[in-house]
Amino acid sequence: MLSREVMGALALAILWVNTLLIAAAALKRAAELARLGRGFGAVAKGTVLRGDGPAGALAALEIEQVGRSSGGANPHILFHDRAHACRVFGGRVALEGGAEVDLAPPEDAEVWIDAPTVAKAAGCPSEAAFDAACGEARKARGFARSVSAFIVAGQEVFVAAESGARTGLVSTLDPRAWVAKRMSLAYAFVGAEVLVAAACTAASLQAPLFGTVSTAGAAAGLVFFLLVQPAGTSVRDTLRPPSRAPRHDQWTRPVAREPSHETSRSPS
Amino acid sequence: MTPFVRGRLLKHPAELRQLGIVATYLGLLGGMVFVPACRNVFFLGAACYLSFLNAVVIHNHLHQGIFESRRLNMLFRTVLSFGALYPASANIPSHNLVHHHFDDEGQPDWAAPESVDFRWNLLNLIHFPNVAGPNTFSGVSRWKAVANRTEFGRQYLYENVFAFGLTLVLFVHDFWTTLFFVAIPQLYGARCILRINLIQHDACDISSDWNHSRNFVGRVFNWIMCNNGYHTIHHNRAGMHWTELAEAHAREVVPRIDPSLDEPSMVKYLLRTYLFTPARPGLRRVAEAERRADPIALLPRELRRAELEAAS
Repeated sequence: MLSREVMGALALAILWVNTLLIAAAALKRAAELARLGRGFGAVAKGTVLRGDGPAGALAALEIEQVGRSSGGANPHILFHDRAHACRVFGGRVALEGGAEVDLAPPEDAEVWIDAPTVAKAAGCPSEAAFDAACGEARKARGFARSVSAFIVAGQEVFVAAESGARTGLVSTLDPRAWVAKRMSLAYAFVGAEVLVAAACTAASLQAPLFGTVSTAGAAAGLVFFLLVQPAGTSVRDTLRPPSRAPRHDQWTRPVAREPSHETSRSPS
Repeated sequence: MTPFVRGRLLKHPAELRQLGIVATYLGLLGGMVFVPACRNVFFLGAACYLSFLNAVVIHNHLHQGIFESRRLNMLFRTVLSFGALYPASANIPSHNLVHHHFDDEGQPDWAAPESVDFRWNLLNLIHFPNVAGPNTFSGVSRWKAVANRTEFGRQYLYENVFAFGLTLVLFVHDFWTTLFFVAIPQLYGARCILRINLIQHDACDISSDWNHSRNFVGRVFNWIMCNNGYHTIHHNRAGMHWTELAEAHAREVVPRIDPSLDEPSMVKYLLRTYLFTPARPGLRRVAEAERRADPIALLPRELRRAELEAAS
């Protein structure tokens, strides 16, 4: 017969192998992010003077999405990403300190645009657009669209200005601060994860074994085992560069504005 | 026996094998919960293996319900959900619609082998469910939120309530016995069925028509596994009953597949790939084999997916 002690040791072994694997995976993603950051070389802040792309854009982040309708009395369209693409069209940037640099379209580009700007580009433009999309979104194929967020003249940007940089970066976010913050998050996750696993282990080993505290520790360990897995994939998604961050955009029918007293009143 | 079975209760007499697997598995769990003498290494090992087979039955049942009665099929899904501690209906979007086409609207399959990337390959095998599981359930939640899936949502809820509710009742009855002799087998089976995605597709060419999967062709293995070793033909002819897969594999797959993707033994493959070789095997040009063979009618993946979605 298998004793409770043997089975308890087995359960704790499973818990710890899993915990350490999830921690190792998070550290691996953090190391990749650090490598990407180092690949930018020196990053300089500046202002876009000119862009050679459509409508004077210096760079763009393009996200292909498919939307499907939720149906019901108050339908909304749920979008799902299919592909992300970074485009640097080239242009001129005035750097802090007075120098100006010409950016050529690089072979390997990273375009990082802040979340509110991308969210604005991905938003529903009008009631008519919503109705037009809704018809397609109800079909099995869904409503396909491309979301484009641009970096244009006059915007403040961070650019990889070094000629030897492996990756051409144009970003509206400070990439060093962004990478540092995400790395801290990864380390915090790993620390917290190991700490919670240790706390569950300590509680489950509390004397008397298999008593009330020990049982509560084991129950917490099981819940932790189940929840740490989605937490790990959530951290993985958070550590993705802004150019590949998964989006879950949603359109709801824009509310038609009631004419206010001021605007409906005749100018006379 | 056959006339009694056919046309009355079961769609196919061979489904008795699947019912037998589930009944034996639940019997083992019940034995370990209520009879202390059953809490031994043999019962636990058998329960873990049968939990994996319970997940195989989920897979088969969600492709083709085993009962004639729709209500019985739905009821059986809830029983199977308890065995695996996840809602069996999750297989419809995650397996039938996304995995069968290696694609979720242009994004990688929720259980794509690339979702793990440790250099030591054994770690990939152990870690894989930690990634594929959450990917799957978040994907299912997104899929469920879309129009005309309220019936699916209801069934999914019933399965969740039954699976977690009954497990919780057992925990209240006897916490430690349930943790050791019910939850461990349940989670073992659920995690192993996710690992199968890695085992069957890693280092294969998922863009090809006939070399996207690894097959395990041992006869005894396939008898126990209800022919789930024949994976290529199952991907390409998802509507085919599992009893017909061996013959179809010999007829359609063997002339078109790289011989290295027809493994005689899963145990030998696992030992060789994950224990004796630390590095992960790289991609090889396995699809060459199908270019040399005669072409055969096969609908494009998008159409096969649309057909399955309409039927789900």
